[in-house]
Amino acid sequence: MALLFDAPKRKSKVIPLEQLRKWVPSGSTVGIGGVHSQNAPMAAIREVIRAGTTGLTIIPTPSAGIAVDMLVGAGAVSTLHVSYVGLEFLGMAPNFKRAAEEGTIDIIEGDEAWIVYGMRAGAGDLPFMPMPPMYEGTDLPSVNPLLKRTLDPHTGREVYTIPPLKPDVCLIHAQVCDIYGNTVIRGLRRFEHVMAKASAKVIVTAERVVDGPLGEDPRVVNIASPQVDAVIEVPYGAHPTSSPGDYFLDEDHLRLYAERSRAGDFDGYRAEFIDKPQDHIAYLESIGLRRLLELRHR
Amino acid sequence: MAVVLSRSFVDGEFGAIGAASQIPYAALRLAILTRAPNICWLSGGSGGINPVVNELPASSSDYRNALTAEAIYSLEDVVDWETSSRLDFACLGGMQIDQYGNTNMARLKTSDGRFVRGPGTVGLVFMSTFKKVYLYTERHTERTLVEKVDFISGAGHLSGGDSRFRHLMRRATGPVLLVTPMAVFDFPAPERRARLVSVHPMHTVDEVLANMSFVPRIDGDVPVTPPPTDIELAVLREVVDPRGVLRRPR
Repeated sequence: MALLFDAPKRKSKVIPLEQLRKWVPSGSTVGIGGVHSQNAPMAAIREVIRAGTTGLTIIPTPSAGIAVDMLVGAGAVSTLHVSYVGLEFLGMAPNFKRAAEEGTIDIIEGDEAWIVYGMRAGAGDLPFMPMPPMYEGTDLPSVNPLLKRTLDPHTGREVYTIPPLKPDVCLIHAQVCDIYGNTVIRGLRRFEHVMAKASAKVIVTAERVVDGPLGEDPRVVNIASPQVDAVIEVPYGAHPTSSPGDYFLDEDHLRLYAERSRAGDFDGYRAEFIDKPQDHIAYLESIGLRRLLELRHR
Repeated sequence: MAVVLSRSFVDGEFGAIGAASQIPYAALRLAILTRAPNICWLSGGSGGINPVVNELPASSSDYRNALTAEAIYSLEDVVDWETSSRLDFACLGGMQIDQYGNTNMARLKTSDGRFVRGPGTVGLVFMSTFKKVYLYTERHTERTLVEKVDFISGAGHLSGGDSRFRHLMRRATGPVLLVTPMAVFDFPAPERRARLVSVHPMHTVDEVLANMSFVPRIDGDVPVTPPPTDIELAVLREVVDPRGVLRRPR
């Protein structure tokens, strides 16, 4: 039966990293996945910077770190939604702190609920997310004009609402993905599937891309093929953050990044680790095979 | 600090701690191992319920928290639980904590009017909805313990008394304790202003007061914080924190 006629083959969504720039034009609203020092889509971030992208609005994971800080340092960001932007045990995110204090980026003062409920509203294309009494006890409404109030038609109570957050494109890092975009993220706090639903386009960078069945229990596939627009294979693509099951976070490199940025030398860091390496492999070569192997999970 | 927090937890409750929170992590494990086995807790960004890493991971997103947990929860789960007041308690801190237990992690002003950016409000917003909050800070300083936060990220007792309940639900009672490396405070009725409850061994009341920007309520003589028992010390040193992370200079 198989040889009787030529059926068209299902299309692969794999693209080379260099084509990412077409998906993230200047001025886009970009969602970024990951949690703290885990699964940040760093290879994608470096490529966006290499492309000279500017004017981005960033809606990151509620626990954002080096990915956002690097984009701010490179001058790629005009507006940033803030729930948490920091380097956890390594202190403040230095480029974010500087830009916020100098007023060179616009900040939308949010919090964890802002990002989560906002994206959930975006995911269902809901008009907004009405909240129980919560924001009333804080100063967030005084600096975030997007926290608007309305009347709950069921109770007559005035409630704060979070608007739908809908990125144009979402950058997500995963452990394994097939060529059609079925994505497995082995990490924690699986919020990426909600971010994907809220985003017009989804780009997945994966440690491994397989041509053929994932061989996984389909229940572990976090993001399904129809949600994903393009797939990029980048081994060690989360470095210097961790890829759960593959490699730990590179604390030395994070520290180096933080120290150079704090000292005002982000441009030096950028020249050495983002602009000079012409592609992802060259970046990994600058980190060195010895270090990469040391970081592997045991 | 871990021991004081540990003794405050109530058996059977369901609570959460935040990122970079080694002291509450140790406190919870200590409580569960010594007297409160029915506590269930979430370790911040890790996504795991009741993790058992005998090493106090530096990052809350350490994968071992997930590997050793009983169950994994998603970010949506924790935000739903926090918003709906399903969590009985949380252990939280802030760049600034004021005399009514309000917290700030977003933005502050220095004495010469400079604007200083913090990492952001993140989960402090849920101080409006947790049933109760244990506040802690590793920095007992004038810059941290202030009369009034520059910006309310997390609602404590707002302007004191019952002011919190003008807008927020009564089931979310607010901060009940504040633990620092020098002292323990509570927030008694009716004013809900921080009251100095005890001073840790090797510290004095004068030292405590000299390093704060407000004068707490003090009722008579201030006792010494009861030191760890032999059992608490043994469990901490041998099981919960064998590498001595809590004893390193911080």
